[in-house]
Amino acid sequence: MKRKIIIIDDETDQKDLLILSLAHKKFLSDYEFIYTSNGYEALELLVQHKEIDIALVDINMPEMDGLTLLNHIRVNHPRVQSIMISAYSDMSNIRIAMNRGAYDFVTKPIDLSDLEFTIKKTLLYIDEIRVAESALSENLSLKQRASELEMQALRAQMNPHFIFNSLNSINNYILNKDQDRASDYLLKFSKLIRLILQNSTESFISIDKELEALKLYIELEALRFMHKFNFELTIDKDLDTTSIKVPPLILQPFVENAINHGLIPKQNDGELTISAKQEGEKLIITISDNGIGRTKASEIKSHNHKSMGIKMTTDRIRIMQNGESTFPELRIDDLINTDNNALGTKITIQLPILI
Amino acid sequence: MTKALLVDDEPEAISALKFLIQVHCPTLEVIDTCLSVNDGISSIINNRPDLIFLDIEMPIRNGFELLEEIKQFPITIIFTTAHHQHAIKAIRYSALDYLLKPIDPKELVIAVNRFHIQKSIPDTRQVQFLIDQLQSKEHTTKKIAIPNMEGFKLISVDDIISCEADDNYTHIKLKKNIKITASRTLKEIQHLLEDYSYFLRIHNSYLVNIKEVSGYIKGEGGQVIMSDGSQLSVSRNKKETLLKYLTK
Repeated sequence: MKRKIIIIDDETDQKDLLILSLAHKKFLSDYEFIYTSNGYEALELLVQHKEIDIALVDINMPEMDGLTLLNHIRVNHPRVQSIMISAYSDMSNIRIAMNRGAYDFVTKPIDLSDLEFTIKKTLLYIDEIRVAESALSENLSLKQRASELEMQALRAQMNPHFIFNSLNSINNYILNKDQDRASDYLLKFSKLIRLILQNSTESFISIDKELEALKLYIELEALRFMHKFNFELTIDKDLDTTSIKVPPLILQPFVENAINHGLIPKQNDGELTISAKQEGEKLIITISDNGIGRTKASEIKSHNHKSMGIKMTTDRIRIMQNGESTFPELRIDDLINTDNNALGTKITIQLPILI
Repeated sequence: MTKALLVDDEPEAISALKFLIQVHCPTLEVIDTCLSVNDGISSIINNRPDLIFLDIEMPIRNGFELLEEIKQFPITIIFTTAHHQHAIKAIRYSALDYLLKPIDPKELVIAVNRFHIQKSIPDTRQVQFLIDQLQSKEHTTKKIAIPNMEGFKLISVDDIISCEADDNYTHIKLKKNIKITASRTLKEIQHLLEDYSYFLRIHNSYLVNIKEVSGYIKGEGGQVIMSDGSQLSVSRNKKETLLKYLTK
């Protein structure tokens, strides 16, 4: 297909026209020229002919001068490159045009071979830009796909943790012939699995649904550990929990940690508190326990223990924020009293508000 | 006594449900148990049960096929299923009842109570609607059955303007000034409509169709003006979400 070039020249300079018509004849087989003598008409033609690559713009024109037209082209047709036509003596206007984003210029009287060369060079530049642009957009969509896949993989890895711990507990009740507890536990467990299966088909679920699953999980753990801890959930009344969304199972690993490494070793009077509120464009969730604290917990844990769940969750929060987080998304505070004794651990998670 | 029939291809499932009914449902008498659809159909013809607990996934013929054959009988069905998203949705849209396996005794009692409260005899149109739902893959009909005191009412989702909570009931306003009272809580109605993203809970008591909002009056939470002229309060915590929805 022939490349399209629009020429905007006001017809006052007969010599110009003659040369341009010569150019027309010479380049007829390579390019298609569209003529107009008026800037307003040029803008209309650019809308009609989306495939125009180059605008040849005379600087000195009545009604709309070439520099004004150049501005319009830059804003409304950024894919079109402009070549200015001007008298050699008018260097100051040429400089302005170049600074405003014109790609090149030719001087009057127009030299035919210079014009041909300039057009070829400009087209080459346009092609390079387009190749780069399409590579960039392809790269972007690949990245997006990669994050989606990563999210799926993370979700898939998270579930087995739950499942086997719970199955183990149920087995325990059966072995101890505790029929009622086994049944109660099993019903809760199946409800939780159902929720997890449903929720994990989505990338984002409402806070309500996330907390429903989390509550079931905590109830199961409380049963498993014979109610060694109490649980309190505080949701700010101004938080819209049915519309604001979070990635599914985003909180569970932190709660799991608080229970297993903070509250269970403590033996009694455990308290687990979860709060959720909105602050500006942030959703802030805290998970606090009055457990034995991280220092003691790390003494108990095997040397190389690293919470996979927490690692994966932090990764998920990062991916969710597209690596462009403007605030720290996760903070861990060791709670201590004035004598420096551990009072527990507090996790603060900040997520963007998504609806 | 209410005569109940259990149909499930798994003997363990039958035994578990029978046990739960004996312990928790004194009003029911299990008159027969069947391990296949064909046995179920002959038992229905011979024993005329009032209530059937019907499994969906069974080899050879499934629960819906049984339903097709017995739709002329005035029998209430409670489906039992382990996991069948598509079917569960269709059942909910048809205002029929179901229990998920493993069956929670509390949910069993609620379903049986609901059966007793229901004054009307089961409507064959409801079963037909379910069968249509199952055949239309994407629920393209945009129709749902809303249970009310008389049985159920088939409505088009897009006709809903607003839903207002009233304890265990929900008043639903439809286009053309039609009002119906559903014998379900607003939460249940919201759950029923969750596939339709243009329904928004703007208040503890109100669920609205965003497409039918014609104006907004500023205030602490403010109020929306619906296409029927009614004005509904917006909760403070819902204001921001609502405005985002409206400008989408």
